[in-house]
Amino acid sequence: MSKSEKKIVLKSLDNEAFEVEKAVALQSQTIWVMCEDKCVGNEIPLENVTGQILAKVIDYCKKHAVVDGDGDESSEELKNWDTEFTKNMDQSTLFNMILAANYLNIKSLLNLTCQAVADKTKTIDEFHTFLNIENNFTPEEEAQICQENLWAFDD
Amino acid sequence: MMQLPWELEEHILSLIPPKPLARFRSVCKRWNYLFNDMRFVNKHLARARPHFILLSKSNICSVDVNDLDGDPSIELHNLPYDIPGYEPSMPVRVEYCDGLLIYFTFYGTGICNPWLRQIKWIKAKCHADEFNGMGYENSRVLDNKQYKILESDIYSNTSMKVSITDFGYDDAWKSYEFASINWKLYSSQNSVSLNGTLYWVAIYYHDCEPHELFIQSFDFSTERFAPYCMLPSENKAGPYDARSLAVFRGDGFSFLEQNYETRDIKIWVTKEKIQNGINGKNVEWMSFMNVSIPEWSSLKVSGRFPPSYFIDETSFSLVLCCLNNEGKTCIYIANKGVNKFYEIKINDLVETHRIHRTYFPSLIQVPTFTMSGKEVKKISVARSNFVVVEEPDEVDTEGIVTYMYLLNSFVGSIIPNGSIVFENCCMGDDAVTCLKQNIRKSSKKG
Repeated sequence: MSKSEKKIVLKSLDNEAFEVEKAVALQSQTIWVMCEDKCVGNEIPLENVTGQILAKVIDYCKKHAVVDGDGDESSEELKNWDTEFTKNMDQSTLFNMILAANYLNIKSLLNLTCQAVADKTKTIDEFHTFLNIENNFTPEEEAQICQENLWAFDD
Repeated sequence: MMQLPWELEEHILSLIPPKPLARFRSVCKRWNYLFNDMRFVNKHLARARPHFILLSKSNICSVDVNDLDGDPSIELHNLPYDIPGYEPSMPVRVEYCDGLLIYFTFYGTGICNPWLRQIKWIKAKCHADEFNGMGYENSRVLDNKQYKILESDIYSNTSMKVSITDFGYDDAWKSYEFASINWKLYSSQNSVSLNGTLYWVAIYYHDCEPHELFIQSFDFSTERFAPYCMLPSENKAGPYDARSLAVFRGDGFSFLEQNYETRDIKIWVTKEKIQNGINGKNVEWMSFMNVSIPEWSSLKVSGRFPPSYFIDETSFSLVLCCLNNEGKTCIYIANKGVNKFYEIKINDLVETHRIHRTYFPSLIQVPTFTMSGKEVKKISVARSNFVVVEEPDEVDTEGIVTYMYLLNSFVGSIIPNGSIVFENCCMGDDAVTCLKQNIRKSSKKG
């Protein structure tokens, strides 16, 4: 295999180009299908992902790729890396990562980022603010539901 | 401020365990409906992490094993134990079927989702110490599974008698007797419920001598036992070896065998999916994992009470729950990924939890409970001897009002356009007419 065949160029929404190893990029099922179809050349346009987010996705994929057998990092190290990776992301970065992981169809990244949201939101108020969800219950309805699920609040 | 698409919001929610999820019902109406939606409930169950349930004289608790790919730890949750009939020194068995637990006691059988605080008792035939289980007729799964419970009565070398009851209708017991059986369950086995059918590790007897190990099954559609497939074994002659069966990857089996002498564990998994109604004689097993137990470990091999276990594929770990050499409940973790072995004694527990098994915490409602978790009201209908159970009036996400009707020996779902889905219809035409009228009445009320 020649060198050019092993590399692939990913182009973001804002026209930023990233040259990556094919093995790294192919963790995305979406890119996999595009390459299989051969309808794209060596350059793959990703119209839903900005350069800033794509750079992070590529970081993740590089860490999780097994390239030429040198992916021998222990699962413990990888887990710590994953925790650090999502730890300081703000709401909009995290949401954009979720959307990108969903669009690119990278299951492990989707689970990691969704789990990060689940871990950051522990109370009802946090869900309202973090996920930007409106409480559409009347105070009476809300009181009734809380009453019915009172058991879930004791530990 | 960004908002995620609904499907991704749902994905996040499917990663949260049942108890915290119940707190989030009051976040918004959509979420409250979602947690009653069977599609979401099943998706949530499919993603759930396995726990061990432990039963002792004075408490029931659930053990969650965390950080399997790092430094493993356990989290202990006390589950409600105000169970009528659950008394000290009384043997109890616990079985599991699709997110629900079944407690077998000498005073009754309880179908329960401890995480939703729902338990429903039916009269039992008081043979809690033999083999039992819950399943359903897999050929007739509509929206509601019609659960059936199997209990063994007489279980000897020469004959075996089992009873089956349709859950929801008390006293509807059917008994079957099977004469001169040439098989036995291998020690005190739990049942494994997969797609409504029950499976056990069993052993053939020829001239009263134990021979091959195999999987015995009980199909609730045919109400018959049928040998499913042969089991692999390293040490066929080892009568003290521990052997245990579990579901693998949702639709296959894994089989654990632990050598009594060496304590070494071997695990096999099935290559293919296990499908109902398809003969298992072509099932192929492949070796999946071998675990050597370190010298220092307190792990004790018990053929009589085999360990409960699950396999975590992400960290390539085997997680076991059983009593150690001092009779204390322990969790053992063999991480083949990093080749480490851990043992965690459950110190908080005062007494021995002899009864343990693997299960998945879920949002599955115990049938005959309303969506809000309260037991359904029974409304008697005049001029007929049937009972209409109603009330939820819940609008699900598609906006369809679903009414549940429960008759002496019939369950059906009725949607307001007049079409009725009967799962088990055994009533006369005038009863149907009467039922329809009552549906119309209650639809107008709503």
